[in-house]
Amino acid sequence: MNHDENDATDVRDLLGSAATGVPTVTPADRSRAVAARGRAVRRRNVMALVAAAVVAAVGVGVPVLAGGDDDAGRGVDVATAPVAEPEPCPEPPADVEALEPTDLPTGAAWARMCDGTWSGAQSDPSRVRITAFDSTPITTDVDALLDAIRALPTYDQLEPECATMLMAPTPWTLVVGYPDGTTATIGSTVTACGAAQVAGSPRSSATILELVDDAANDAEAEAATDEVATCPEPVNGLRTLEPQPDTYEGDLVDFRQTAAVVCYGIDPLGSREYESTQGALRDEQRFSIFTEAASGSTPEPRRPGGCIDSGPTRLIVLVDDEGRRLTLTDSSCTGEFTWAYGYWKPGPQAEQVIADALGGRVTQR
Amino acid sequence: MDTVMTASGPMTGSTAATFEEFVAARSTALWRSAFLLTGDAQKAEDLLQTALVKAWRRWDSIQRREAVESYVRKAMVSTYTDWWRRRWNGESPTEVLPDRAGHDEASRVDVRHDVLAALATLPRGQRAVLVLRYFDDLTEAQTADALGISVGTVKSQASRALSALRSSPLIDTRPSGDQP
Repeated sequence: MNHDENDATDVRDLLGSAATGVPTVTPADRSRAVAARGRAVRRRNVMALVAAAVVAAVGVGVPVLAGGDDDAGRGVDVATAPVAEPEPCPEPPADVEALEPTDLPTGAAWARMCDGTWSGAQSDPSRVRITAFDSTPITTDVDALLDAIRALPTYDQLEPECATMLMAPTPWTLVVGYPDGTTATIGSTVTACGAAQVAGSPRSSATILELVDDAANDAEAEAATDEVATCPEPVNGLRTLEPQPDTYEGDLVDFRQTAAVVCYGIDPLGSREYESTQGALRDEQRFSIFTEAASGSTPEPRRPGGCIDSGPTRLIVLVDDEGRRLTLTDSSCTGEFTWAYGYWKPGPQAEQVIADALGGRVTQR
Repeated sequence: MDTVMTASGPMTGSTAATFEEFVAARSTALWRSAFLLTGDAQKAEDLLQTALVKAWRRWDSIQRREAVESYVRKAMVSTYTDWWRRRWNGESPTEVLPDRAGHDEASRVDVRHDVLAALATLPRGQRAVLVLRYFDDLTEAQTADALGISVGTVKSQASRALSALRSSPLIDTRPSGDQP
């Protein structure tokens, strides 16, 4: 037997030994939770269908009743009138320990992630972790997001893994806006191993944030129609990049790239490494980068001590001949790029290509 | 009669007549796969429920009941690999594990912790390939279908993942006779 065959046997045993836990949710409870979530999705779809039907009916009916072409736009006015514009995030941020209880009722017009604060931050602001939440407002399928959050199980027991975690306080809030101008806010001091109060019960912070992120990415994917390599809109001004969802799944070596752009988000801690925040790669630059990344995929390097990840700071967005997108993301302190199937730490030549595309270096990394 | 499979058995097909029966028969095994993918009990539950919602909504239109598990597993891994870029970086593992009572229990938990830690160093796609191939015992073709990639990619990614685990200081994959 070769290495892989021997290892496969060992890996089967190891995976079996690591998956011996028992879920805390019983199958019966799981069935009920899934049905509730499924009904919420169905309800949302029906509401969307009804809304579309109303628009269609009003759009057709009003001109007929009015009997003239000059009223043709009335249906649209009626259907789109009660739109609530998303409000900016509260400034100063809301205290997550002093939020009004909320059930997050349906009928929301928008939702957005915002910073939060808590009493500990006032006595020692240095304890707060700098986190760049994507505060772009979500304006589609907001009720589905709220349904999913309300359907989360009560978070009444810390995961075992939390006993071995050092959690840096990262206060966050989710602000939800309604057509009448009112808002509801939930939040927590941590992004994992903690909970936010929703409808009188604690719900997992990590899962809520995943759901919000999911909703934001879904909305973004629906809106995306371009087939050229473009950088995502920077989050929080120039501070952080949030990669768009990949539309290509597979190995990098099989990707038939036809265009690429390098994107740079200024370090949240304030340092600036490159002159520009984005730059298209010329053909020869693109081939050079792609060849090295495709051949140089390695296991993730070990983090040196004191190495603190600061979120995505560099992206290489590749587009193939079918308009599919694959993003290589540098979000680590070690300067390597990751994607679904690999890691790659650029060599000096590739780093130079990246720097050239971004107008040259301002400071050394 | 329903075909109930072992926790890590191949997809020989569950013929549960109702959604509730399917969940009762198969969801614990699916949860374990989700746990290996996410390394977190609550995320595993959410990942599984997200995949099950998709099956629940299509239940009446899925003609071949034995295909349900394949459908759920595919939904699960595609949701998981989609999660990979949406990590929230609020936590960092400590170097020191808390004291535990009982040597056997501590040893078992240590192994589990080390395996999950080693899996966490793999790219999500490789991790999914490992779980599908070596925990769920899918064939290379079934793994490729579940992940939407080629069989060649499954082979190369599995080989890379095994190589990475082989060199991981967290895992001892030497045959028992080689161990001191």
